[in-house]
Amino acid sequence: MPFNQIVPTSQLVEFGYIPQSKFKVGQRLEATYLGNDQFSLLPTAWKKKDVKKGDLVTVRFVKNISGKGVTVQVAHNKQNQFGFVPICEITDEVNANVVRFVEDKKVFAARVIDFDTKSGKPVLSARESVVDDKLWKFTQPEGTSIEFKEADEERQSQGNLRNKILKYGADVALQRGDLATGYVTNIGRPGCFIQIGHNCTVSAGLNDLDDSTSFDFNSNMPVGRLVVGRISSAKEGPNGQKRYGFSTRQSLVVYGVGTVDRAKL
Amino acid sequence: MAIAEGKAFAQIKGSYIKLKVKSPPASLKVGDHVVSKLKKVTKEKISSVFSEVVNKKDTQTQEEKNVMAIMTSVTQEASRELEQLRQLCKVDNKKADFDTSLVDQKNFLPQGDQLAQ
Repeated sequence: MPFNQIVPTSQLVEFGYIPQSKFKVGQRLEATYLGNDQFSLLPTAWKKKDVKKGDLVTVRFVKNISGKGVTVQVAHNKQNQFGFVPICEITDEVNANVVRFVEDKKVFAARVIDFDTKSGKPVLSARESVVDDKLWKFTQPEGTSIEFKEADEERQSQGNLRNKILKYGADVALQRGDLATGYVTNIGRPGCFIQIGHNCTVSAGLNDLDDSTSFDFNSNMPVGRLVVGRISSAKEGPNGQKRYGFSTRQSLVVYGVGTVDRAKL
Repeated sequence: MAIAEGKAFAQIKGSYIKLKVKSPPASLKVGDHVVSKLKKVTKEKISSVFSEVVNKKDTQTQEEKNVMAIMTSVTQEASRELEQLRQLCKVDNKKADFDTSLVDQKNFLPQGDQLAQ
């Protein structure tokens, strides 16, 4: 990037600029060169030896793993440290093609939310509400439930339960009838698997994908598709973990599930 | 709402429960929102008599309207990118492992007179 170029604030986001930071006119900024003509403005871009949960880091898009998420390279002292951003942790926006979204960004800020139990690689979230320090202080374990509810209520009412799942875990956060948006991560004979939050995949049977019997499942439900639906059932699995059924049928999404108790009819 | 040979069937709002609607007007069409009076409720079936057609927009609560708006915007956004997603994910949809014969037709509004007995 030429040194005499004027960079607008919107472009700074690509370099790891966090929108809530306030700069004064004339203030000098320290930037870290990441290679390939890319910079980071995050103070932690290159200083940390290891990352831990809650750390904000600069990452570089590496490759797309179909229907699962994207692999990223984490910029810090430990060379070649790679991380993973699950498909539903890429953005809070209603975006049907999140892979192109991160491909265009190339370098972006993300927060470590977990570590893969097998590989030990960091799992990151690049969602705006997680990267934003002001909102993260409520979502992190130290944040109180009341403050979190106030800060996240609007997102939850619009079907974005990802912060709630991240804070409490799916078993506590979800209940029958909840509205949620997610991405199709797998398809099989019985239907689709849809990821609606970190470590939370729900299943939608063929009967629950659409109201119409003539719905063309083959062409309309590719892996990676954005969907909105409701939790239609919650059952306890053999290992004690809850299994959630999901419905994307308009009649149930709009009017809710379980609104009629047949036993009382 | 499904109509077959002068009989109509409806799905109770917010549930999978289906019921038979007797004496529907000739102008009634599939997708209409109706009010009907329950006549008979058994474990096997529910039958009712048609009362009136209601205007969907007038009867939806504010929350239902909001959810409808969210669903419309998500569906539109998803439809816009469907073709690209298919290519990006390299899923050959012809070979996708869906088996539509597994669809339980009973969970849908009947195409014919499935419940008419």
